[in-house]
Amino acid sequence: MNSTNRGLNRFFILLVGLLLIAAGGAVAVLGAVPAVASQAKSIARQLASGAQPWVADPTVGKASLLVLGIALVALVLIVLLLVFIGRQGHGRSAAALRQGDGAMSTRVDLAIPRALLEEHLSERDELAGLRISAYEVRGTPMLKITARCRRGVSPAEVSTMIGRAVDDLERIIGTDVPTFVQLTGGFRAGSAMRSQVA
Amino acid sequence: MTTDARLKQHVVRRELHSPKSGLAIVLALIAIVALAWVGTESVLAALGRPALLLSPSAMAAGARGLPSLQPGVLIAVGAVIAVIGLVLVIAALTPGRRGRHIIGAGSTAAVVNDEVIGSALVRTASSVAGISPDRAVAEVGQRSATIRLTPVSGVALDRAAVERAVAEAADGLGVTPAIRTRVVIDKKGKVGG
Repeated sequence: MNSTNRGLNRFFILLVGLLLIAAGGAVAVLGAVPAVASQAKSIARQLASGAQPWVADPTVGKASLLVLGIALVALVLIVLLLVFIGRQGHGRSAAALRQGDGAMSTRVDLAIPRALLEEHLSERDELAGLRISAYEVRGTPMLKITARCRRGVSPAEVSTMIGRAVDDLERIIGTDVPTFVQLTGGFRAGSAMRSQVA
Repeated sequence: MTTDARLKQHVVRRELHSPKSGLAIVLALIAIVALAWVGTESVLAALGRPALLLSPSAMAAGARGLPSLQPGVLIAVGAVIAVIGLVLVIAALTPGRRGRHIIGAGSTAAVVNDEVIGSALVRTASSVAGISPDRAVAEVGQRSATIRLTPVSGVALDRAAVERAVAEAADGLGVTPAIRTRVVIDKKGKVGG
């Protein structure tokens, strides 16, 4: 439901993977192919003896231009990565519904469906917990109902029950309320023995 | 299709698959630590201070010295790095399905975690078999579920009845993709109810 950029996540993982394959492959080839190893050795010797001034000569203190450049690139990449991490999740909305535009627009606060649904559903035995939230999905607020089911209850019955509760909510508010329902377990807590009804 | 339906479809598709956030964050953190170290070493070198672990010139010398290392070591290290990279590429390209199913809930979009399905099947199986729910375990996959029952020693289970009840219960779930059930009854029972 959240606005995590999943494509970017996958792209980032793919990029790191490809970089590692390239680096690992290069190291392995260095060990496996003698011709490549000797070539690399001679290049290394050349670099060590006749290094360019921007690589070898210190410009600030004892660091060459290359070292400072690497530090700068590292800093920029760190900032980008921090932004990337910070972009995960998000997308929660305080509004459950927004309609109309321009001069007349209606906004239904999340508190209203939350109160109505909790009143409707929290008394039910089948549920061990209920969480009502709202997310902005593609610019439209959408209600999210997370229902923690008790051990052994039929998810079909619970989903029908919640579907009815949402229908009632829509009737009260007077318009469609885009809703996503998730049924979860989490039976470790609150799995107290309940009498079996066959 | 209305925009509303498309919105629901979009959300359901997202909820059925992993966002891969955890892996991406871990990789980003490792990269940040590595970059911070390299950056710090560079700045320390610029200030003429002693290095934390390796100065930039020592790093460069190390990279130049790579070809002189034992070929076996290079191949082994390179292969390990490449395999890690391959695992990441696979992780990036596979769908990463979560253990969830689509379930009908009137006009709303609904998804149910597989543990809830398993728990419901366990309850059906154990109540038909007449054993405690703690003696039944369900394993729910994308299209199939296996329910394993441990009978009470000396009391025979009605396998056919359990199979029928569980299959009916799975049909009644109305989940997509549909789940085919299999019942396994342990050969050895356990004493006590």
